[in-house]
Amino acid sequence: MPRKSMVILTEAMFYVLMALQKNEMCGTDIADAIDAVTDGRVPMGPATLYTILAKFEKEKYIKETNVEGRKRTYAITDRGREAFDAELVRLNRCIQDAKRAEEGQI
Amino acid sequence: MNRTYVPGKTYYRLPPCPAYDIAKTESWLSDLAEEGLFLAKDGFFAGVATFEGREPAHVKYRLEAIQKIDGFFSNAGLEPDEEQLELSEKYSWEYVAKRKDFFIYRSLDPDARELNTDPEVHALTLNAVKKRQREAVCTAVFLLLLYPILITRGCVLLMTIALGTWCASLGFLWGVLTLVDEIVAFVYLKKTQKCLQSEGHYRFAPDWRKHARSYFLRKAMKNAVAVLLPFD
Repeated sequence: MPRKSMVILTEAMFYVLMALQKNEMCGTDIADAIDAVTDGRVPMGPATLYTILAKFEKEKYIKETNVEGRKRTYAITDRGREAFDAELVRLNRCIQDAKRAEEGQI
Repeated sequence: MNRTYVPGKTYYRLPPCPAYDIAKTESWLSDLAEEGLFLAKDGFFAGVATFEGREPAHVKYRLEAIQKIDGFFSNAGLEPDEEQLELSEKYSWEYVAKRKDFFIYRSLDPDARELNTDPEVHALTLNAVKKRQREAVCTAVFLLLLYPILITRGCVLLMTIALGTWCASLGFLWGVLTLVDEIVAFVYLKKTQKCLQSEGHYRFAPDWRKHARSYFLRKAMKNAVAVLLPFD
């Protein structure tokens, strides 16, 4: 059954929010940052990236802070930070559950 | 059939599938590129595709759903976003043309990063196209079913008699074909989206040759009816 979009973030969505945690960035910089952080493990296609940015802007997870020619800069909002933190907690819980299962605790 | 195409010369082809059939359109364009026909810049017009003869090559074509098509005086939906274009070019993708609700990109690099790397996000892009198609279905239902009943005040049979058998029959046939096309398009888009969400790809039935003949026949019939109708 497909997950509802925005309730649980996909990996690509998670990394976009992660990239914007510290600095404002434009689309190209976000793609480069994700490549660097994941060492190429999470390839960010241009269509995927700009779909996520449009969706996040609509959901008010990010906001456009500057437009210079064709370049648009985005910053994460408080709502975006909350979504990121919630996803981080969920992922950490998954890891803890996996470790407990591995150790035979469950 | 190994036909040689002259480099630099222009060729015309009719697409063998509807615009919403992403997998078949991509497959068709790639197959033609392997024969030496490359889709020309802005190469779709009035249902005909324009190609340039080039050296045969393995080319990837990808269709990208247009998110926003604004009103008549707006540029939204005419060209892809410039920043997205720039990033696409960085990953070896060239924007080529637009066909109905989709932008068409191509890459000559077999290792080029895909335009869509997240199937769930890719499925989201089809929401906008699905929405427009749903509106098209509703419009077709209204214009072809409800409107005739409204303007004739329920006396559709009397209107049919007044128009004459041929005119009414042709009109009815055209209406049915149009309505069926719109509904099939909506259902197909929904199926594509579901496939992306559940299986991570949309490439079911990409063999464009399979139903090409029936597609051409249906299109020819619909166009013939549309041409004959005013003369009846």
